[in-house]
Amino acid sequence: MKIIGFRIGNGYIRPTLLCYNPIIFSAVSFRIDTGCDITTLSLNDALNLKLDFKQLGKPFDILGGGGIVPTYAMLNCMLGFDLGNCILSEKLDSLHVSSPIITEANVEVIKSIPSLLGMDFLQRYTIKADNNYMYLER
Amino acid sequence: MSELLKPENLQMMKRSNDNFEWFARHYDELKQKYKKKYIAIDNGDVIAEDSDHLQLIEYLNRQFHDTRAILIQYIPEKTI
Repeated sequence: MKIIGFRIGNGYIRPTLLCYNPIIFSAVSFRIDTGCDITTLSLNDALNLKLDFKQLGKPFDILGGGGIVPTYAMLNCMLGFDLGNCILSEKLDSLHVSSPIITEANVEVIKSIPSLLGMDFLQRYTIKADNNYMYLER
Repeated sequence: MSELLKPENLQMMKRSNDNFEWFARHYDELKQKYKKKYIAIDNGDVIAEDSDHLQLIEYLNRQFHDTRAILIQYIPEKTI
């Protein structure tokens, strides 16, 4: 089984994110990030999905590269992949949604941070790459 | 899971993947042209651009019934 992604400097894949609480059914681009433990939705993508943070319950603090970031957890999400000849769906136990405090100093960095596909998902696959494509295989 | 298999959703998944592949293939030229802007990509074209993310989303919502496959991407000054 092979999921094909693309290289734009780093590797990216674009699955469909499914969630029932809140209801989401939309494509999201994730950067493949072996340095990230948990798959995380960026603020940009949270806005693209019109996500209402109030629906996500109480945030908890996560210490990241830029300091402490209030973070929400969306439970029981799925990622759907079109493999050409079949559809693959993979469960995510938790999808973190960060809600960083935006300041003049960090706004450009926050805008640039993509959603990250972390090791909670990637550990199920072997990651390969060539010039233009990334491959998640198992 | 059954949601994924509806024909309209299968079409959406394919279109969104095509949009991202187009973005990846044209990234070098797009980053020259749209630096520090949000762009929306669909069917092999940049269909909208704005430096304000929310304004771009509002514009797309006004223009299109279904925006789920449209790729909205920020073009940073430097790739992180």
